[in-house]
Amino acid sequence: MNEIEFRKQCVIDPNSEDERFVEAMQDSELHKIREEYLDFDAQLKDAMRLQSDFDPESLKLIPQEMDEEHAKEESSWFKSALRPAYSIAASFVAAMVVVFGLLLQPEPALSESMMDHLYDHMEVTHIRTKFPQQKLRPLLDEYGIRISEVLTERMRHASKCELENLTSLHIVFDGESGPVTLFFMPGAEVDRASMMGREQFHGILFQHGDGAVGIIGVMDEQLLPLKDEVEASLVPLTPKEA
Amino acid sequence: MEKNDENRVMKKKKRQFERLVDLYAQDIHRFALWLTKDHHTAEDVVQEAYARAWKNLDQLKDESVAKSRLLTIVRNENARRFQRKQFDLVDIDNTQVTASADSEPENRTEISIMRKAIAALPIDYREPLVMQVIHGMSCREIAETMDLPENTVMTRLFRAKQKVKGSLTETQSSNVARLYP
Repeated sequence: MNEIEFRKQCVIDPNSEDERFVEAMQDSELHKIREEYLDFDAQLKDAMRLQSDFDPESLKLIPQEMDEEHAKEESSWFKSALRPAYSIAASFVAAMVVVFGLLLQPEPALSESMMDHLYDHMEVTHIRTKFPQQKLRPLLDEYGIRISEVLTERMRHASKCELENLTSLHIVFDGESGPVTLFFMPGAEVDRASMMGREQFHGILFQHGDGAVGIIGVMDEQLLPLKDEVEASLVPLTPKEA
Repeated sequence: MEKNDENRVMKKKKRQFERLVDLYAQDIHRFALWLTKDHHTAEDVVQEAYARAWKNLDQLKDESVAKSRLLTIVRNENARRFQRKQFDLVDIDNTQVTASADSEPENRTEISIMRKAIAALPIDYREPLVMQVIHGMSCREIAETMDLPENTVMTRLFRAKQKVKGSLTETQSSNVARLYP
């Protein structure tokens, strides 16, 4: 490694464990040079140390707060029927029941997992290129399903993921109002279709074949037509195809 | 008996969570602060990251993975917030530097210049730089966390430091700047 390369590596990472870099450091001149770059990084570290009132101890209250929130949510159905103060929320829920003709029976664990996974992997919703068909086919084969062109033509991402300890399928395709995320969990059971929502997203969870399907889109996205579309498009392989 | 077991499991889970707070919260907050450039947003983002960590604690048993996971949640949360609303956030410029007690005044000036230069970096450069400097992460670890090729991370780190160096050169206030011809 010559001096120019050595200096470049020092800029990138003076603590690099690259063999050639470590070997070059045996040279006392280069060793001195590295010390200077380490000083610069130390200055950077000082510069990044900002004063703040942030108290990490407050984070330790999160489990307790979430337990309390969960307990509140569990009793909110009963309260909403009794308290006029909850009339807006109740109206919204009632409207959803009318629109979907479904009884809303939340499946908190599945819905939460899907929402969490969506947020944790938000970057895949930004993909604008079409997902390659040659990669899609083998993936779908593993799940024993096929998806019609109506969806594959608009598909931006497809991958395996873990939801509730089940290997599931995570798909992103273009909806009417933005990216739509579809989770397919083979083997999962959903008693009744239910709605889910978080911030600017809402979705629907339902049973489809021998698995659970979750569709999540932005608030403007019409879920009912999407549900119909997915039910028609996502079908099990025939014995011949399998 | 079962109730006792449940309590024991819950206590263990809480201890594990508190350990994640003790180990990483301060640095995760610094990362969030440099990403969002706003104290309140940074705190919200860290709060959200730890709330997710609590929900998915079973997947975070390996503490070395936990840090990277927390950073990813912070990055995603920041991207999501940015997408929803274009913040006009510059309060980091008004933030006081916690200078070492033995810092000379000229060093404090340099640090102030560097801090502004870091804040002005494009986020693509700022993110890996903060990961390296605050979290001591290697290029490979940063590449894995950001889902980028290692060479891309190296290029971004190089350019980020060059830009910070450039700001020092412009003011001609630092001997350190001469290290980067």
